[in-house]
Amino acid sequence: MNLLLKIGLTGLGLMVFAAIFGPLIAPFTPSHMDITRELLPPGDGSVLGTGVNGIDVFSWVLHGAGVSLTVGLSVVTVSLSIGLLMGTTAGYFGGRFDFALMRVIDVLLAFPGILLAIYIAAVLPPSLTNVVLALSATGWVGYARLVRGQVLQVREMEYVQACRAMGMRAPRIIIRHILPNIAGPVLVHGSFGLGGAILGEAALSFLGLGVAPGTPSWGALLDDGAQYLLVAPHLAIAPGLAILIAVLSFNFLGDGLRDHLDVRS
Amino acid sequence: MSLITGVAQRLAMRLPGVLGVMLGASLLVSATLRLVPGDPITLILGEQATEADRSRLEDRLGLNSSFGEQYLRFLRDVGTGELESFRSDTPVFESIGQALPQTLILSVFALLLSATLGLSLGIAAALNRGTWIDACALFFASLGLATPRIWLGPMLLLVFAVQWDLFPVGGNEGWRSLVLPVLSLGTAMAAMLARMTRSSLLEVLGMDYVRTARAKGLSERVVVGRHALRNALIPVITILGLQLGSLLAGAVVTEKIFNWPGIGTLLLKSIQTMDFPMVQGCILVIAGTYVLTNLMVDIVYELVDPRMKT
Repeated sequence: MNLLLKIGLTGLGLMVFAAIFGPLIAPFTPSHMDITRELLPPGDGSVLGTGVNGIDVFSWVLHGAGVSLTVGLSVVTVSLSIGLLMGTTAGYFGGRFDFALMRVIDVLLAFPGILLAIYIAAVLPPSLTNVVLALSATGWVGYARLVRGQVLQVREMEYVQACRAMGMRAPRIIIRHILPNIAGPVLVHGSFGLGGAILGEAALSFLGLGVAPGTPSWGALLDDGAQYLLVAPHLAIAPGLAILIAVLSFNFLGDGLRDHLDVRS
Repeated sequence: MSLITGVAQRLAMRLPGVLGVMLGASLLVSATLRLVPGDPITLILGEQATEADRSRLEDRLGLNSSFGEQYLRFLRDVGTGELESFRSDTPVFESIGQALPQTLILSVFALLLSATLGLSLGIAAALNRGTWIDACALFFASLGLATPRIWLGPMLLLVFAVQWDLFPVGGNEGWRSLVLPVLSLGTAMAAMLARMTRSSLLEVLGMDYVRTARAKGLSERVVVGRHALRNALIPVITILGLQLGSLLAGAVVTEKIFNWPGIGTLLLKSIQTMDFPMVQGCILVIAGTYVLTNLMVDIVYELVDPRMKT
């Protein structure tokens, strides 16, 4: 196992740990407020200071790990499922469905970055589910393109032709013989996607289009931090570092997996 | 073939595709109001709205007619530039016309910054492979890539505007206002370009023709500058072009942080006031700018690199 993979897995482990045990360690619940102790610097009973309405920043950041991880895993699961279904179908069968899918993807790729997610999040009321919906609506495209390309390559391999010659049905060929052979690149893409989704949630929440108010999101906390930069500079530092560490870990995980599985980008 | 006919020919070839994509994009933007679960009318007016208000808004959004009619009306309003804002008397595209240049200034400067910084870091790293220069460059590239814009922006403000008072905190008051937003927007891209330039140059430096160039006694400067770099930069330039568009999306976040009067700020303001025609206009214009930029990059690319000719 290479160093990058180790660092990445450590980061992932840290986040899972924070997500599971964070609520037990955190001195306060995310909904705890104390307006007599608003925007206080670190120290005096709160490790990382307090935020708007006197929320405890340390507790928020700990609870935020769970929110980020939930969004990240959900977005990757949803996007990956849609991407696998679309990509394998289009890649294996080709024809009209493939043509139509590629045109849909062309249209979706006309919206740079998280622009379409911003739009979808804007017409939906803020909630965790809707953030996942908005990010998955564009997230699946990358998986679909990757899977389609991989399937196109593997489809012509001799072992697939052998399956076909033996009269095996397409779904079985895809699930038993094609998917295991394209798992590597998909896994690598997925670990980068995890970081991307966490970044996406943070950005949407930062723009006020993400999770519902009161949900301990790093992006939302960062938004408060940016607004009270003059009065409470401590507010912006912790959530930003948390996002940075999470994204860095998943990027390392992706790089490490790529080297480990010897996937060519 | 002259340059102009070359460009014109390629434009003519690609234009139907681009038009198709933009039609699809407008269809998607228009349909999203109906596709998403929930009721946009309640979202805009709140629960307590009167029935009269609701039906008036429904009519304006075209939600009480069939989707086909709604879309055609939207398309007509976009085409004639008559799309009306809910909240202001200025037509949608006039407001966008005022904001878009501000965003383009930001994006172009961010592009310049990231190209200069990214290329020099990447080249320095590749030429000093395995040394501390390489390690430093890679470290900064990884960091720059993972640092979220929503964090980098406030941190830059905190250090350079609040602590040291070198630059204004927000708005556009001349070139000094440009520095921090451009840094915040361009850093991630600089990091990506540095990584790409490094790996691309390293690959090229191992090629036979580079060895030949060295073998015939050319100076290292000529080998790298004239032979290796030219080929190494081809993939980098493609990415550079593609990324100009993603800078447009990144500008939304950056403009919020620095209160920059561009299309991102306009978009967010319109979302807050539920000014849907304005939101749709902004989204479409950003997408259109992105698609057009990519088209131009493709064409220039084909003209510059003879191997890309089809």
